[in-house]
Amino acid sequence: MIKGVPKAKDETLRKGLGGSFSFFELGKAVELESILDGKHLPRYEDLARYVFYTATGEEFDTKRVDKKKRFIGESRNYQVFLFYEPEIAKLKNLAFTLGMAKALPALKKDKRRLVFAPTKYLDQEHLDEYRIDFAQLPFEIYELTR
Amino acid sequence: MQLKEYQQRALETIRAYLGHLAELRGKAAKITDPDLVFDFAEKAWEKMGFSRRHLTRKNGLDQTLPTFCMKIPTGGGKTFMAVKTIDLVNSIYRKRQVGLVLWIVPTTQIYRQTIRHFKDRDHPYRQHLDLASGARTMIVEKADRFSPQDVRDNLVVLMLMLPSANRKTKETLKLFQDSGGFQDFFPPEDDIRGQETMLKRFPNLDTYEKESGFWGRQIKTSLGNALRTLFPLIILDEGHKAYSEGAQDTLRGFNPCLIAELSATPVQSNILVDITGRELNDEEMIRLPLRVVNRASPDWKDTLLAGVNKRDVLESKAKENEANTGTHIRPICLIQVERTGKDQQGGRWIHSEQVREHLIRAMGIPAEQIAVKTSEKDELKEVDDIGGLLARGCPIRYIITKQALQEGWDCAFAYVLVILTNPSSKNALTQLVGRVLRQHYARKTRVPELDESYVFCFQQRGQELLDSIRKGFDGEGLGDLRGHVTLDGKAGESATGQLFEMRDRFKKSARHTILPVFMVKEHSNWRPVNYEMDIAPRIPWDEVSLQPVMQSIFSDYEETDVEIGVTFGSGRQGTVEAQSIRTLKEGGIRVDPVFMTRQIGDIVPNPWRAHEYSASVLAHFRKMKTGQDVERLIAANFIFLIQQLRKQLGTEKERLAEEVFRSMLEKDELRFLIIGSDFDWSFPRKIEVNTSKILTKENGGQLELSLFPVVSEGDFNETEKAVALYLENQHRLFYWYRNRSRHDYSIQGWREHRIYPDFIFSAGGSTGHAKEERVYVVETKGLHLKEGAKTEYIRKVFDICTQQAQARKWSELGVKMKDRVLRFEVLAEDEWQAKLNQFLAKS
Repeated sequence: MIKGVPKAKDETLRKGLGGSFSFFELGKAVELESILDGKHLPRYEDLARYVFYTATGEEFDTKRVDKKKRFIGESRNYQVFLFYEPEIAKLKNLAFTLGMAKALPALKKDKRRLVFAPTKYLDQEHLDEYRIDFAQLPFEIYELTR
Repeated sequence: MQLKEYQQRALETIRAYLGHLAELRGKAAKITDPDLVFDFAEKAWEKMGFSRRHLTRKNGLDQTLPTFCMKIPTGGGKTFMAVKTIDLVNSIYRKRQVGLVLWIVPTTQIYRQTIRHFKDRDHPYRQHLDLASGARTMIVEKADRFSPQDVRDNLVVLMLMLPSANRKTKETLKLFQDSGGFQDFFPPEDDIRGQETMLKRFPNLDTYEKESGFWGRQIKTSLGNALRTLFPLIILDEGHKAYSEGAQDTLRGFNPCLIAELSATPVQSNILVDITGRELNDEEMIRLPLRVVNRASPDWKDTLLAGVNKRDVLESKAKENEANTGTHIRPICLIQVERTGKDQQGGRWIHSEQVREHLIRAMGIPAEQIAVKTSEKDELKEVDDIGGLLARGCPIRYIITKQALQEGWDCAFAYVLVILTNPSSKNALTQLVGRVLRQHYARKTRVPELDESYVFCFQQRGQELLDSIRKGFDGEGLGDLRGHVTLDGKAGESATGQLFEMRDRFKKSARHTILPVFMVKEHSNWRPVNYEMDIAPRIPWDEVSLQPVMQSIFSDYEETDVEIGVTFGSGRQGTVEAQSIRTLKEGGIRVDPVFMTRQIGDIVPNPWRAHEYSASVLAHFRKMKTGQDVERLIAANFIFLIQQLRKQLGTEKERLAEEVFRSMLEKDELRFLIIGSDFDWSFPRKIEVNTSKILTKENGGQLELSLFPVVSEGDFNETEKAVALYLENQHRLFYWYRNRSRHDYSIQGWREHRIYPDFIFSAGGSTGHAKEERVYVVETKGLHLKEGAKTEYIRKVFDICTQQAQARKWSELGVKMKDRVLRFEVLAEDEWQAKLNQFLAKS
C-alpha cells in the first residue's frame, strides 16, 4: 500500500498511499533476554527509531539522526540521545558520564534532554543542571514524563 | 525511579522481617508436638528487636497470619512502597513470582486513581509490578473473570473497594454471590467427594445446603470463595480508616497468607516501618513551610481574591522556571466551599456555583480553567480521561470542592488552598491541608515561592486555626513537622521555628572550627568527592567473585506452591490433578534470567553486566547437575539463588568500593582536606529552632553547654537525648552541637549515602594546656540487629578520618585548625558512656 499496488483499480492505490510503517518485537521477556545476552542486539538505527517513538509518541526521522553526537531526534519537549553500541563488550562498560553531558549540543529554550544509556555515573544535581531526564537501557524504554 | 534513602531503609526492614518469617514458618511447620507450637509471626517480630508489642492474628483457617503496617506520611510514596512490598513478599515469603494479590482501598477516589496507574503499562507502579512478576501482571476488578490458570501463570492483582464501615453492604455481598466464571476453582457440583475434600481444607467456604441435602453441601462458586482457596496477599491501603471488626473479619476470612497495611496514622497495627515527616522533608518530598494567611475581612471574596493573586504570582514564577529548566508546573488553587448540592444555592452558605460564577464574572477567569468536584458532580473525571491534571495541555487552574478531595487525592500542582468556610462553622481545614504539600517530582525547584505551600482563610481564631492545622499534620502522619507553619508571614505563636544565634561565649572558638571533607582532584582544583561520579565508575566489576553463590547448596525440594497445589488437588480427573500439581511445583517460578537480572539491578548498575552474572550462575548449575531433574531443581531454588546472588554482589560491591576509596587515598587522588573555600564546613551562625518543645536538662533546667541556646527536643531520639544530657554535665567540655541530617556536616565514604554524624563537640585536652582543644565528631548507634553492617562501615570510615586528620598538619592548610586534635568516633548504645568518659576524663 505504501509503495502502491500495481494492479489496483483505484488510481491512488496504484500510486501508493505513501507514509511508512514499522513493527518491532522488543519489550517482551524473550526479546529482552536476547538483547541482554547479546544474541539479538538491534542495530543502532533500529533501536533509535524504537526508543524515540515509544518515548515521545512522535514520528521518527532517520535523517535527523547524528550518530556521532548520539542524537536521534527532537520532539515537542525533548532532544533525545541514545548511547548504545550493538556489541556486548562495549555495552557492559558503557555509561553516561559528566564528560558526555558536557559534550551534548546546546539546548533550546523550554526543552529538556532525554538520554538513553545502559547506566549513568552522574548525580541528580548534575542531571538537573544539564536538564537531563535519564532512561536506562534496556528496561526503561517508555515514556518518562507526560 | 530512584529510591529515596528512607524507602531503601524501609524495604530493607521489610526484607529482614520477611526473611525471619520464612525461616520461622519452616521451623514451625516441622513441629509436631502441640505443646511446642509457636506463633511464627510473633517470633519473627521478636527477632527484629522491636520494643513494640506484636498483635497476633489468625486467618479464616485458624492459621498464623502475619500482618504488618508501614506508617508512611502523605506524600511519602505509599503506593510505590506497597508495590515493592508485593515483590518482596512474593520472592522471600511466598517464593514465587505469581499468585493473587488482593489490593483493598477504602474510597472510589483512591480506587480509580490506583487502578488507572496499574493499568497503564507506562506508569512506574505498573512497571514495578511487571518487574516483580516477570512481565506477567494481570489487573482485575471484581466484575472481571479470571481462571485458576491465570492465577498460576500471572501476578493477578484484584482491586477491591471495601467500605470500611460494614461488611453487609451491597458491594461486599456481591462478592459472595454465586456467579458464573469461577466454577473452575471448585470441583464440579456432582463430584461429592471433591466437594467434601475441599470443604475439609477450607471449612470457611460459603455453601448452599446443609449436610443433609441430597448432594451434600454445595460450595458456592463465588469470587469470595475463590479468594479463600488462593491464600492471597492482602494490601490494605489507608489501613487507619479503622476497618470495623466486621470488615476485618471479612478480610481475614479470605484466608490471606499475609496482610500488609499502609497508613499515615495507624491504629492497632504492627508497625514495622515508621517514616517520619522529617525524613520526607529531608528528601524534598514535601513543600514546607506552609504559609497561612488569615484575612481579617469578613467578606469571603477578599480571601478568594488573595488566593487567586497568589496563584497568578506562582504561575508566573513557574513559567520562568520552566523556561530555565524545562520543567512544567501549573500551580492549582483548591477552593473549599460550604455547600455544593444542587438545591442548596442561595442560602447563607457559600456555594460552589456562587464561587465559580464569581471567578468567571468578577475575576475574568476562563470557565475551562475551573473544575468542580463534589459527590454528585465530578468535572475532574473528564480531565482524567485526557491525561490528568499534570498533562501539559490541561487547562485546570481552580478546583472547587467541599469534602470530595480526601486522602489519596494527589496532585503535586496543588499549591494554594483557599478556605471559604465561615469562621463560625466547624473547621474542615484539617482534611485538606495535606493536599497542598506534595513537592512536584519530589525535588525542590530552588525557586523559593515554588517550594512552599499556601493557605488562605478568613476570620479564623488564631489558636483554633493553628490547632486544626496541627491536627491536619497529625492526620497526614506529619505530626513532627507541625513547626513548619507560619501564620501571616510572622513566626506564629508556638507553632513556628525561630532563629537563634550561637552563644556569644562560644563564638570565637566555634568560628575557628572548620571540618575537613574528602576531596578529589579535578584538573588543578579540589572538589568534594561524589559517589556517582568518582566512586561508582571506578568499581572494577570484572573482579567480582561469585564463588560463594556457585557453592550454594540446593535444598532438594522446596515446596513453593503448597497452597495452589492443594487447591487444584480436587480436580475432576485424577490425571489432570496430578499433572497440575507437578507443573505447579516446577512452575511456581519460571527460571527467567531476565527476572534475575532485574532483581540485582539496584546493586549492579549496568544491566548487561548484571545479566552476565545471572547467566553465569544459571549456566554453572545447569552444567554441574546434569540429568532431567536439573531444571526442576533450579526452579525450586530460583528465589534462593537470587537471594544468594544479591547478598554476594552486595558484599563484593562494598569490598571493591572500599578498595577504590583506599587506593584513591593512597595515590593522593583523594584527600581529607580543609581548603578554605565554600566546600569546607563550619558551624552555622544561626539556626531555626522549633520552640514548641525544647530540650531541657533532666531537672528541667536550661541547657548550658549547647552551642545554641535553644535546641528542639524533636531532633533527638532516646539515645541521642541521653548523650546530649550527659555531655551537659561534663566539666572538660567546651560546647556541643547537634549536627542536623542533610543540613550540616557530612562525610562521603564509599557507600552511596553520606554519613551525617549526630554530634560535634569540643573539649579541653588532657595536658590542661589552655590552648589545646579537641574536636570530636560522633555518631551514636542503637543496638539494632540489622544495623550491624552499617555501623561497621561508619566505624571504618571514621577510623580513616581520624587517621587522616592526624597525618596532616592542619596548619599546612590553614591556620584556623592549628593546635586542634580532631577525632571521629562511633558510640554504640551499650558503650557510649564509657567511651565518653574516656574522652573527657581528667588525666
